[in-house]
Amino acid sequence: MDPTEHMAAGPRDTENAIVTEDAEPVVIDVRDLVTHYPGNAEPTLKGVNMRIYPNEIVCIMGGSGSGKSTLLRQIMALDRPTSGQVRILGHDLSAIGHRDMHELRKKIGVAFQGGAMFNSMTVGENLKLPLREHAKLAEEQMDIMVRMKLAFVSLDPETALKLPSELSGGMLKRAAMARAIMMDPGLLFCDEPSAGLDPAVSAALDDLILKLRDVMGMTIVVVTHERASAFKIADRIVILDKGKILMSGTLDELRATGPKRVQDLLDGVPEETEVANWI
Amino acid sequence: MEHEVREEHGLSIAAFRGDIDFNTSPEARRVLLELVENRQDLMVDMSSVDYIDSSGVASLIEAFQSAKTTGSRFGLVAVSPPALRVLQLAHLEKVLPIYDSVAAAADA
Ligand SMILES: Nc1ncnc2c1ncn2[C@@H]1O[C@H](COP(=O)(O)OP(=O)(O)OP(=O)(O)O)[C@@H](O)[C@H]1O
Ligand SMILES: [Mg+2]
Repeated sequence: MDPTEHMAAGPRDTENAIVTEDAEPVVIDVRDLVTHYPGNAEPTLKGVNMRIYPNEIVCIMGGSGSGKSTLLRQIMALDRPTSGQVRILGHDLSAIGHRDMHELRKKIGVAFQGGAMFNSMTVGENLKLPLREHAKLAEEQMDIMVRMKLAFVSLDPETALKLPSELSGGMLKRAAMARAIMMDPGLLFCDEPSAGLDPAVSAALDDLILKLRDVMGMTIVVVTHERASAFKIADRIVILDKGKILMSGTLDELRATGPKRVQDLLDGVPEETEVANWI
Repeated sequence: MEHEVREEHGLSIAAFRGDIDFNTSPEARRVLLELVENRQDLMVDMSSVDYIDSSGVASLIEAFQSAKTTGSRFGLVAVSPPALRVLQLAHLEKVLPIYDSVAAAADA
């Protein structure tokens, strides 16, 4: 059976995830991933190994420039790795065919750091794009879904009628989140979903992420700087530092056994610069 | 998804079984809207719904709104726990009339 079938069917995901040699189901399997952007002296990702399991909320944390967005782009198949392998729901991204990729995209929701909406169409039309691409629904059905998902992210349903340019940064971010969950994806990626939002909205987004996991059975990967948010929602925190995974585990595990750099990141202590490297 | 329509206690009962998802919700929508257009008092038996996604929820809401304009009754009966959790996620459990059984819906 196609391991990706029924990915959206929530609580049954576990049965349909791929089973690895050690008999654990895995949603995302990253192996020895190296990403070296042309022109850069050093690779951005220097051999990353990471697994994400069904129904987990994983927060990827790390300093600015540590490679978080790059890692996310790699597991969303937006960029090709320099070397190494990324498997999602059993598909090796370097060998996946066009049709499988289309099927995979249907099951993946993505909320980008910047929002990324088409400015020529209303927010509602932007939200309907994934529905038009992947499903055959009546216009009325889609309109109701748009209003429902806007409400999920604490936006007024009338936001659907506005143009993206008429929204504030925080509203755009939430609209991008609403668009990411239009197809009830089995796998959701969010890059900085709550950065810059007011505390009440940010807390509401945290609750939404938890509920999407609990009720819809989503597996969710969140890149975040917001420590309070990560501590609240993460089953597991992956700490990225200078292109490598420094540590991965529950908050308690990181607290109990993490080296100083991990503790500093968890405490929000800035990295010390040993030498004046700017001269 | 399978469905069956029956009459009970003077109500039309549309019973769905299985998954109301992106693939099947257009069919669920067609069935519900047709019954509502015939101005029948309609209860959706959700006891055997294993899974409902947002497109399925949207079909229920559309039928509910349509029933309001035609002046007929619309409600859900015996909603299965997984379906109820999805309705609660959308805060619909207090908006859509939900009954424990067809008999309870008939008495209401
Ligand atoms: N397209 C690109 N071309 C060249 N270099 C890039 C590109 N994208 C990222 N980089 C470099 O890779 C490094 C990591 O960038 P990345 O955006 O992954 O960091 P980040 O951890 O997401 O940071 P932030 O927290 O600020 O969002 C940076 O040094 C950046 O300059
Ligand atoms: Mg980033």
